[in-house]
Amino acid sequence: MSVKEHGEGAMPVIVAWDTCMIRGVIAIARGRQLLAETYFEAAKGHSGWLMPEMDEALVTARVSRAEVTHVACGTGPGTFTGVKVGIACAKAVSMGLGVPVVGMPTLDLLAHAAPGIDRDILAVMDARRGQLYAAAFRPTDETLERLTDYMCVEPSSLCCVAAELDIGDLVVAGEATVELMDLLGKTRHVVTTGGDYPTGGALIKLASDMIESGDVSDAVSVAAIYLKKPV
Amino acid sequence: MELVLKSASEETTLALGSSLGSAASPGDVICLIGELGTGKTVIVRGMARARGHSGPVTSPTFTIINEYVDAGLCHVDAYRLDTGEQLIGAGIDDYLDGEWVCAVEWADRVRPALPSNALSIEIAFGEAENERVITIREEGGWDGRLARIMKELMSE
Repeated sequence: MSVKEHGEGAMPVIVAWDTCMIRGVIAIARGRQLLAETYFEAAKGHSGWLMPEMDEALVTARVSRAEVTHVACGTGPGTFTGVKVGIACAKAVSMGLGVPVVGMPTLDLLAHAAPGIDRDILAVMDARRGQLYAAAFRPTDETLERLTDYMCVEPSSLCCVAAELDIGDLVVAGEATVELMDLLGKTRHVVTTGGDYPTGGALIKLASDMIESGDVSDAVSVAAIYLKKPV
Repeated sequence: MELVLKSASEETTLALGSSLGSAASPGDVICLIGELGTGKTVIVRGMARARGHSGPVTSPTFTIINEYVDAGLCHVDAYRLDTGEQLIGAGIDDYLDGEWVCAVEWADRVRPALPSNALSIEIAFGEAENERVITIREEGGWDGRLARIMKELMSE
């Protein structure tokens, strides 16, 4: 007997990726079961390989394009080209297959890549020029609650934010720098997850949560998260 | 270290670009400064050819940044920009992470956005019709590689 999880829809078949950091990931899942995941160097020429990589992952997962019910992508912040290519491809696939888009902030993906953690999580990414992209999360029963806005700040400001929010012991996910760990470690116990980049598991976990709560968009309305103001 | 060369033809300028392209390593930034028509793009074309790119090399005057992936070369034209912030807004940081060689035309217009450790190439019109005076300068030290490039040029 097949499980009908979403009203008239069958179990979601998700093709998901994040290209916003220097290591990219593609994942394919049926329901919450991960069928394929591929990692790749994303520093050069994203646009050339993302779609072929997606097709290859679909073959590995034994999923046809026609079966796909949702396309999910990391929406940044992140590298200039990576954010744009990831979202543009998701919009294209959404339009081409006639399926909705799940836009997942990349900092949320980093936090979700830290499994089974019972204390607050600070997700950070290198924003270049001495700045970090960051957001803090608190584990709840089923998922993670975001405690802060998505920020682009210097490491020292992050310590102030942590103090203001009364964040105690902390796990840092993503691109934790030695400077940041030293700063945070002055007043609390801090460890890193060691997971620097989003994982296939994180893509599918967050996409599935968002699909279940109806948090999906169409190709037009899914938008990138840019934290550096255009000049 | 500073090196002043005279180029009598576009071919010679192209050959200089070729030597620079061979000598450059990922992470290097080449700042090209000079009036319209002095041959900044010719230098970049020589660099691209030496690094294995056979397709067209033209100044990205409106798109600001071109990437020649096969050559690991990022070609910037800052002619239409006024500040370093604008170049950052156009996404230059993706190319300054050590993976690319960056050649920046009109670099003087956006200098604060580029690393201090760079090679500066100023091109001026010479006295003869096709002559160019090319001044190559290590900014912040280029690890002495300019001496090696000079040696290569002299041997040609």
